[in-house]
Amino acid sequence: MKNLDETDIQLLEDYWQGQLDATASAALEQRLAEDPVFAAAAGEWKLLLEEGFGPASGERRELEAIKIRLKSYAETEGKPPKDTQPTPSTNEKAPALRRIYLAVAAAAAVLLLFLFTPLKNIFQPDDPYAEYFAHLPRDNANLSDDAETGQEAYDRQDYKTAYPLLLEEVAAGGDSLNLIYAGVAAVGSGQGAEAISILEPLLQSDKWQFYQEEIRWYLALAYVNRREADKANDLLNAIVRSNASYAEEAASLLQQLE
Amino acid sequence: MTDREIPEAIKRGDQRAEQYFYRENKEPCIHYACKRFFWKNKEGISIRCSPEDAEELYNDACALFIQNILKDRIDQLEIKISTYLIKTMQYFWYNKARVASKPRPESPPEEIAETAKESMRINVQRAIAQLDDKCREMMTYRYILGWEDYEDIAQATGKNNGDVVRNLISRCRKRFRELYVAVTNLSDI
Repeated sequence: MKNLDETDIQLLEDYWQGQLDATASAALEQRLAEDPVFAAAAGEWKLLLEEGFGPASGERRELEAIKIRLKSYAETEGKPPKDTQPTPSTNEKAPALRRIYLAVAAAAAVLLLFLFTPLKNIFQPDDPYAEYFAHLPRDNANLSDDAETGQEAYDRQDYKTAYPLLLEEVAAGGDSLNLIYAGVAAVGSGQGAEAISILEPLLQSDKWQFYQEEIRWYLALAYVNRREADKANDLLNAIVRSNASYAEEAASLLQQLE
Repeated sequence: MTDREIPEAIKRGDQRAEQYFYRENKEPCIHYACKRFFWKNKEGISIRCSPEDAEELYNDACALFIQNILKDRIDQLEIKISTYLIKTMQYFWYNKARVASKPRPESPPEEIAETAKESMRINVQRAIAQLDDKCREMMTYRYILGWEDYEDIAQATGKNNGDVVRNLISRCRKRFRELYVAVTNLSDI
């Protein structure tokens, strides 16, 4: 590769893309045939183009995690994302009148929430869930090789990295306890909707008897994060009534929300 | 949410932005690919892009879009996201077609060990990460996304024309090669 200059590389790439005319192609082919040093350097660059610019294993894992997420978006297609009201694109064909009705209805709904919900303070800029969120240390073992794992990222409290990796590890047949930590990581990285989608089924399942308190608490934080006031209230009150772990925090959070 | 806001939101880890751009562009991109992407096989028969192929191309293009944003390889798009996705899908399709129409070599090519390929990829990533923002972006379009037409890259990056991009890529590639040789020598020690 060191034996190529920029003109050579440009010429070779044009040739490989079929963009050289017949005369230039013939001249280049002759040079490749007659100059073994040039031919070897060209082969080296071609190999780099074909193999080197693809994702390495770490990036491949990240790409796979992204694809899993995209697949989940495709599967829930048709259902509008909760609490998301993106600006309509310019090619949207909704009638103007309908859009006005929708805007008025949305504004009225927000006003009513402010006036009547006991959780009106939830709309204050400082999100209480973040104040109450604390790292949940893992109970399971590290059985990894050299590669970065979701568990390592989780232990570092790099929740954004940990969340997809933990899910991927569970999907690949890893320790299903990581689902709880994926839920915690989702809460910790502000992805309330994702946390709810993981923790709600865990709470309903009777497989996680020893982790009910943790699941309930982090699910409550996820509801607070997503402004699901009723669900947050119910769950926090249940935690307070249970007088178990997180009861004090739940009471304090309720007080703050009210 | 506008096309300009989406990369920033993705960078912040906002999955609603991902979901929004993924769903918003899916149908038009797949429709376009099914209508316009085709290649001719050795018998001269046109092979059209099927809806399944188009969906796969779309998912790959979206995943790479997100990853390149998260890795700071793409900063600000000067074209619509749908145009960007279609272009990327188109180059993926070209490559697929190119591989499919390539005559099989009489003797099998020399196999390179997966470990050697992996260390090559890691060294490429390290070298690209050390480039300045502009060069990282140019190398991403040209080599990671495989965009071959300099005019396409010029449009996406807001450069005047393809010649400007060609010269820029030449400079960036030179710098990249220096860095690549340096990281390869270091990793060999």
